[in-house]
Amino acid sequence: MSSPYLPQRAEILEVVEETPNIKTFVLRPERRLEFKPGQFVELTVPGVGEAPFAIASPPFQEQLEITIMKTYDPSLGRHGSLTSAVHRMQAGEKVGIRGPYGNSYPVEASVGKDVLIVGGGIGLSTLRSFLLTLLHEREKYGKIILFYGARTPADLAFRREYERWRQQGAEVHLTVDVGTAGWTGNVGVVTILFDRVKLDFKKEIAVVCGPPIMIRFAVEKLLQVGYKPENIYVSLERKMRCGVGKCGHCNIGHYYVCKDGPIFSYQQVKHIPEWW
Amino acid sequence: MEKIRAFLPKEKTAEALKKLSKTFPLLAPVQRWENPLLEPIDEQKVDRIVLDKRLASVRQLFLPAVEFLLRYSPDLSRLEPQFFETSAVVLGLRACDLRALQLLDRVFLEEPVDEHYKRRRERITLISLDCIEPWEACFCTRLGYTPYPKEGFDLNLSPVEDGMIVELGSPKGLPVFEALAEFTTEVTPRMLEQREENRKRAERKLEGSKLQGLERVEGLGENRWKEFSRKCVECGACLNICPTCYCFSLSERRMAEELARLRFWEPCIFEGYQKVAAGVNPRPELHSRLANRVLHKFAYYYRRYGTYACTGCGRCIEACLGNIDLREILEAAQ
Repeated sequence: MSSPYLPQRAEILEVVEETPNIKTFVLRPERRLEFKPGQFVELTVPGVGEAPFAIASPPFQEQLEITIMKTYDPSLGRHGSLTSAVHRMQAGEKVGIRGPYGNSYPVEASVGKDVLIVGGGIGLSTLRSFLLTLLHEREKYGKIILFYGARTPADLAFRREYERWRQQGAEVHLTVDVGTAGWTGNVGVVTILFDRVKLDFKKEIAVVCGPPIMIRFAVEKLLQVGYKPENIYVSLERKMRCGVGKCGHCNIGHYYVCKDGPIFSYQQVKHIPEWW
Repeated sequence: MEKIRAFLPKEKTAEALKKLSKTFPLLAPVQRWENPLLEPIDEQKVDRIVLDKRLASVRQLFLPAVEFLLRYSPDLSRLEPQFFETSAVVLGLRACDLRALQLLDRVFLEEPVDEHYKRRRERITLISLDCIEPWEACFCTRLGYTPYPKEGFDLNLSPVEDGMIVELGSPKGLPVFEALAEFTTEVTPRMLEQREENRKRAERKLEGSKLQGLERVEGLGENRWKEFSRKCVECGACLNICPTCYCFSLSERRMAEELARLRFWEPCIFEGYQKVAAGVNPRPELHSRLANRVLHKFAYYYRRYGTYACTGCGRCIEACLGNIDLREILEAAQ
């Protein structure tokens, strides 16, 4: 008899430091995970706890990657206990994973379409799985554009990969809230890219993930420039405790983010006041 | 199908309960606080069973307030799910308790099946009772239910003059029914008439306008929720006493040599209930959390499972320190 709360063991093969507070954990689960871009897993740090994290790697890749930010809760004045603990872990150590859970990005619906991906901060983690999936079969899609913003240049996640994404056929546009010495790129929140970049692509599919406030403003901007609510997809964050639609924690109105989401079209959630 | 029934005379009841306590791992209501609590009953404790009051909540048996789900080694090489290993016969449930279990079943027995819960459902035999004297806060009939069980029991007891009618509800109840056989006699038509009269009388006492279309609570505006939550002190009593509240959290515990994962009740009225990374709280206001609790039962659960997650037992009304009356909220949605 099995339990839906039973994780499987995964070995940490490598820890990649993305930014001062973001690390990518390359994992080898005992049983290979079949998943779709946009899905998440529940990650157990033994003896510390369990929390949901998006899968950052694309499904066709052998190794599973989870990119995790060490969070800081200003109301408590301390870092998150689970993200701190996982950040202390090293290659060779074991974690538990359950999943994959949730729905996925509109890969099929993107065929033949121009796709705009809008990310903020650690939100790029789940979007990366989608982006790499599109780039894997590049010829199937129209233009692929990434708008990505982070707090400072040092906080830009997956920095080593932007050039490769460009070579593979993505337009990559970056901005930071606060520039530092040597930064010659855009300064301002991610929505300024809508004004700075020539929007010479069809307003067909847009996919958004980032901090709540950023998602809200990005959606507003997307509507303004002509995206239809049903073609704007947001990946939402809630406290998915169980991941299987039972514990009740992650509801947004009648939806469970863990089961009906985490990806919703704006059309689905726009009437629910607490969507964000 | 012909109902299988027997009559347990009043003067044999104590003896019969004694036998049950010796034959089965018996749990029954014993007076502790205002509402009796379920306790293991041995021969000495039989005379402390109270059947004329109702239980605080039966949920604890199926979804314990704290439950070990897994034990595992720090390197995760050993992962052992924990399941309910014994069995129990529980006496004293009401129609509302049985209905509550059916509501929990929809959540915990749908895919992926919660085997922890399922095992308890399979191994616990349910003996219910007709409500003869409903309580002030009861409003089951207003939701279209009856104060006596129609289904979901393994054995049901209906108090009548000079004793109780024992009715078999499922094969699971058979061993208990058989254990009672030496004390019971045949049920007469007069007894069944009495049962019918008692049931009708209880329903009459509960009379009130039907509460319908309750999914419309979703339409109550923010100001109404602010009003309703004015007296809420976020104690969580309504959620802990509710037979259908099931929201839970998971956490890890370090034991001597090993680690454990446990599940515990987490009331959605508490401020940190939905808090996510970096302290962001999607539901920071009390009134929106109270609204969510009521909407979960009458709108969200309804959309998902086609029925309300409320049995009209009124326990939340009795428990509320601020005298918030769920019936008033539901009436506002009419």
